[in-house]
Amino acid sequence: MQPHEDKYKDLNLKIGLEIHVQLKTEQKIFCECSTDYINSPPNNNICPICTSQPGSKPMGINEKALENLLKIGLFLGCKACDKPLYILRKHYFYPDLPSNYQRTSQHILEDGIFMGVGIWEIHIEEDPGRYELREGKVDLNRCGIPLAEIVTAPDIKSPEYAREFLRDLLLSLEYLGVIRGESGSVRADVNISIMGGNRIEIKNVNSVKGVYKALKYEIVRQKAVLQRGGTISMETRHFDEGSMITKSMRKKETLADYRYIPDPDLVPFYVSPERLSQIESILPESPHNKKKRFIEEYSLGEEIVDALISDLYLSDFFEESAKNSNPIEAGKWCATELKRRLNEKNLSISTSKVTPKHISDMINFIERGELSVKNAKWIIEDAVNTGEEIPNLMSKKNFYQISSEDALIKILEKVIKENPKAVLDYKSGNQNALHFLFGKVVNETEGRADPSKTIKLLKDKLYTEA
Amino acid sequence: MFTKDLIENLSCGSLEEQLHKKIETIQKKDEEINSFITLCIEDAEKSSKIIQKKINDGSQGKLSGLIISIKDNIAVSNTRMTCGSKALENYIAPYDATIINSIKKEDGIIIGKCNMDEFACGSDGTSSYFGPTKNPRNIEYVSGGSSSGSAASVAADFADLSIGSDTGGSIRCPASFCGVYGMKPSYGLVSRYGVSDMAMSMEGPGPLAKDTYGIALLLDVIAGKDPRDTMTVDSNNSYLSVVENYKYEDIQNMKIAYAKEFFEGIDEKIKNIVLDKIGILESQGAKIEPVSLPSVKYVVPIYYLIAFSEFSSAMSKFDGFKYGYYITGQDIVEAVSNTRESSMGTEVKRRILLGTFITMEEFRDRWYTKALKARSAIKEDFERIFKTHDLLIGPTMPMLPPKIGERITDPPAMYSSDILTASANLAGICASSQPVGEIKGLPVGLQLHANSLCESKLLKGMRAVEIACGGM
Amino acid sequence: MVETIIDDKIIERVSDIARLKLSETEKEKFEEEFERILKEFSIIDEIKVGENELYYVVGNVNVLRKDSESKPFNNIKGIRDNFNRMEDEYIVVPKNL
Repeated sequence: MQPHEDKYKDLNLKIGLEIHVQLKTEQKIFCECSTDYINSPPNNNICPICTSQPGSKPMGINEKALENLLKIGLFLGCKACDKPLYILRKHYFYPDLPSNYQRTSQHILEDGIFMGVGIWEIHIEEDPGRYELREGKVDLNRCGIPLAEIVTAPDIKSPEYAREFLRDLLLSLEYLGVIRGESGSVRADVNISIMGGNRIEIKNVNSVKGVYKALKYEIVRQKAVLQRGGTISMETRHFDEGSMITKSMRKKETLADYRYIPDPDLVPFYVSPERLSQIESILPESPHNKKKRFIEEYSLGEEIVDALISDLYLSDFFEESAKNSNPIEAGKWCATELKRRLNEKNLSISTSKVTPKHISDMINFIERGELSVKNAKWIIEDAVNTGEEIPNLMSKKNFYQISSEDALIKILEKVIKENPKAVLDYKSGNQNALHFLFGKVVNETEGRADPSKTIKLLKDKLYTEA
Repeated sequence: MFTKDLIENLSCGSLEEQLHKKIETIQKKDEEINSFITLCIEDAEKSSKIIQKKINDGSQGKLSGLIISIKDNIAVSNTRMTCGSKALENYIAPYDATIINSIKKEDGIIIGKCNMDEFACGSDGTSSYFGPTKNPRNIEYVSGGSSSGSAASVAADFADLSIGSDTGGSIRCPASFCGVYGMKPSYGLVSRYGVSDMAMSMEGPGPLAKDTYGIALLLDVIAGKDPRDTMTVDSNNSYLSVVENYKYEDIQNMKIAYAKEFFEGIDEKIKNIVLDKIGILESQGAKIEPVSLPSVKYVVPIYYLIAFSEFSSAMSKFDGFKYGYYITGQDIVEAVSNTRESSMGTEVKRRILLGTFITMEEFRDRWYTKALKARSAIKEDFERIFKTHDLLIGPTMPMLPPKIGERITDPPAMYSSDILTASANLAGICASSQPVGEIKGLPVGLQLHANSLCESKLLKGMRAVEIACGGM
Repeated sequence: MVETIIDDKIIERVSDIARLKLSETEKEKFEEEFERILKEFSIIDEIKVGENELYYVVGNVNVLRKDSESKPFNNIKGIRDNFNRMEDEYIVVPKNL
């Protein structure tokens, strides 16, 4: 079962994503303009080709863009389409599209899988510019930035998993160095159907959070419609980032005949098996192989491994911390608490202050009994936020636990001596007295006594104290 | 050789004088002929001074100050580029087409932008927003199209050479009607970067001149691989030497085919003149053989179906926002529709609509896909012929230029005038037209075809015909 | 072969997709012309065709371009001078509320 799936079990959710990521290159896909358009004032990062001046023609496809896309596909376990591929013209009129057609390729790779979700296909296309609807303003700087479109199967079963999926996918692509990491550089079209009903498409969601919110909203909205006795018909909706809701689009805008034709200005391209092997050889370990190795090498459980491998930064981090601590513990902490904290704060391994040493130190303290599991959870949060060394954090928060038997016995004896009535009460069968005594130990040690050890020693001591 | 003499004159005379003579002639006569939309007198004068200095120290480029007119669908930077349409009436091209760069580098002087059928949609030179171009040989008659101004400017001595574009015959037709030389190079030999799109898989720029020498000279300058046009291939780049080294005896090595289908349904008088020239070539030693081109009768529909679909795609960029004529509206849909409706002529609209129609989901298999499959048949026909022959010979146009008032304007009939020229574009091979006679003062053109990238053979054939007609 | 019937609904739809706002006379004229043109062009049904659609007449394949340092265009002003209307360097177009 997919994580979070049980929350929505009766809804039979089918969620698929069409993810657009900007590929990392120096030049645009069909011209020599810079891809660093974000730092440019409006309409200053342009040329005759990306503004579609009469007579202009596209230059050959940017080789690096194609290479980066192939890396993505291979990493996701896809197979390449073994035939000459065309760039097509997809015709529709829109102010941010200078030619009023978008150049988009046929499927380049197919049939991959990531985090248990099928990847249907990946292809390359050019980014349009920006049209601010409400202000009637157009900026063509972004026209021609190379995009990879990744289309998943509708295998995602919850908004939470969609969020995790997208987040980890983007982190891994960033790790591979194939995408631009600036904000606004990922866009997704989200498809959802509930209870076997018609598919709703939500267009142009511009953030991971947006994907989550859009799906949550849609589920509520669709359930409400069905409860009122209505039906869900197939339609395209628009996501409003401001209000975090989806809105129906005017029917006219959604009826489209794109009249695809192979672009007569661009010769077909072909990805040879040799080229693929060459690229594959310089890629880091694939998720599939990493999973096998983690299970074998570290004896980790499948669920933990799945949570580690989807974020390449995290899996590297785990392996580093496992060098200096118990791998099973390292795996557990990295896959659960650490990941959770990072997600909550919208951080990644690379953007937070936590290091593998934090985790290995922390685990070692726990193993020596100096840190309780409960307090460890707080320590992780601090490490993520401040990056301070574990011993410092433990001192500051007074987390050092007393678990050495000798030390505890000394304190126990003191408490027993000072509270004779409680001892008598316990001996006459009053369990509460035990807790009272334990509370006294906690006070004496300012909360640092290892609870389970303390209780055990107390019981022993009281038993032997005739 | 006329053009060669011109160059020699330029190297001993005054470039500025030559330029001013041309400008005077234009100012006197072009009001009537209407071959120019924009004149570049100031730039031409500046260039002539610079090039004169280079001539003086012997460092001039291949074009040596020859005066060149450019069809107005080709970008010359900081110069108006209208494509013969109201839609681009005030558009100033911000860049140079690749071939313009080459021409400037070789010291050609660009004198002006030539009139043309609107967005290259036409074969008689009468559909321009800026008025029809008249035939310099007889101003009551059309000049042919769509490179009407290019051919007329050379015929009227306004320019020594010209660059036009040929999608279905648009260089060869006006060359034939105006009595000048014109060539459609093999697809991919000359860069299309900077040439406004009409039918991208079939068109390309090409030279017009008064003789074979001029054609070869200009072809040398503009041919060659260009990273800005991914369809281009490497060029031989010594076409001029092919022409200069041609010997009279070379005709004995030529195997020339003629297709009977090219002579069916054409004006008898044209037929006779062309057959006469073929007879002369034979008497001079060429091997002449009849062949069959059964696909000729399908050429017009296949050509137009593909041209319509590519054209409608090419024209979608004209929405008025980034350049060109613009009328606003309530919303983006209305603004764009209003703009396009009011700025484009009837034939342009007709082709956009038909092209849109035949690429729609429910109709594309029947028309668009079928035409593309049939296109292979045309290519195969030519390949078969060129296995055993060097050249294919025949008339360029099935009729003489019509009078301006009497031209055919009805669509299916209008399109059929491309029947002899459009197949070369479908197959991507090279073809030429040259004047071989006249009927009642109106020129008759003879067309040669050679296989793709066999411009050397084509030029030899042109030279042979030139000599056979008494040319120097 | 099934004949394509051109009626005013089709002309309406085609002119919508092509963003050409035709007058009534134009619509009628085009409707009539298209029928005739397509009727004549239906002669291509006679041709025996193979499966190959000939999109390109050149044999070029894989014309890729090496990514290198960007080369900014040298006449951006020339492009902007042709914009219909600019405000704060944006192209002004109708709003879409």
